[in-house]
Amino acid sequence: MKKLLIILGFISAILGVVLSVTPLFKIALFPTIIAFLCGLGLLYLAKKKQLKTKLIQYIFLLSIVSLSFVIYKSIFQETKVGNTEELEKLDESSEEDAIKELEDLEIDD
Amino acid sequence: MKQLSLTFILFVGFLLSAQNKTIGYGEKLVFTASYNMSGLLTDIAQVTMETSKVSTSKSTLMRLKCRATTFNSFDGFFKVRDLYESYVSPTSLTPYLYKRDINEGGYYKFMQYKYRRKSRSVESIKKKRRGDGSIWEEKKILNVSSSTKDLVATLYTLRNLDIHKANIGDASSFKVLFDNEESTVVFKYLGKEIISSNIGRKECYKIAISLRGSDLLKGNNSNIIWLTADANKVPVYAKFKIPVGNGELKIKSATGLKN
Repeated sequence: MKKLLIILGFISAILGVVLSVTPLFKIALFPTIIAFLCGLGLLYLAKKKQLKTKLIQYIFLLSIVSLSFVIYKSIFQETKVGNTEELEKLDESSEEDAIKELEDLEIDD
Repeated sequence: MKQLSLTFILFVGFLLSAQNKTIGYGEKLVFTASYNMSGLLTDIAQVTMETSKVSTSKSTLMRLKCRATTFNSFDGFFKVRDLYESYVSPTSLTPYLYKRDINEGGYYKFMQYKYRRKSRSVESIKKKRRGDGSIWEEKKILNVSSSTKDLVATLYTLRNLDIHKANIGDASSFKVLFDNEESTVVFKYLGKEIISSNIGRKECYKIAISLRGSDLLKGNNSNIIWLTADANKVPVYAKFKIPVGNGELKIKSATGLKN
């Protein structure tokens, strides 16, 4: 049980940190919550059986790091459209080309 | 049963012959596309739908333009710069030229359809970028039905339907040409709902979209669009199913509306 919680906790915590730095950072909440719950479970076992708490601290630390990234990005990250210069040029040239193409078409109305 | 079929045929016939009363030149609708996974919304891209006047030496057409652009946080991850255009008759919304230029995470594709209405055919040009960066081109002549439209023109045609005359459960189908294949898109009226959006709290028509014989848009009411129940029939909200989670399209602003 202890080993299972440690493995699951670590995998979830690392996954949480990795996902929290990607643009889909909100998804990181799921593995972070799992890691946090595993950490709590381990803490309970550690108190009951007098085990070392070093590994539990790492799981909590990684969970806090990913949670901080998620909160920071949710508050401060602006949703702005990236560079559209090329698209603007394409837009203009596409319209010019379209007018040429339309010239030889039979348009009823 | 015969009466019901006749009513349905008349209803569809009436809708198809409808004149444009909804879409004018200079309209601009801006949407935010989001990815929804178990209630966690992530804004991914901005989608704009614009109309403008285009004049040739012989006629005046309406340019329907749709653009999809990912937000800068996503550009390094999966950059999307898509441009969809349809040049349609301003009175009947019949398309004459369709162009699709997509650039998605390094994948490039160009499609062009030139409609030859009298011969019921379409001259198609397809271009793709190969792995070595060179462009591969394919030209085809496709036989289509007289009412076949492209995706963009169909979306605008949906707005031009007399939905106020429809009863709950009524459906209307359209022939759509996409990727050189003709398919049937079915719009089903599901009723009215109040939707809170960036342009206010609006009473909306709820319409389900499905693609007959395709897995892309399955016909189980999972792809729904809400259009304002007024003369402009502005799409304020859309929900669609994707393999992992759901996609959403929410209106940000609407300017230059006809009515």
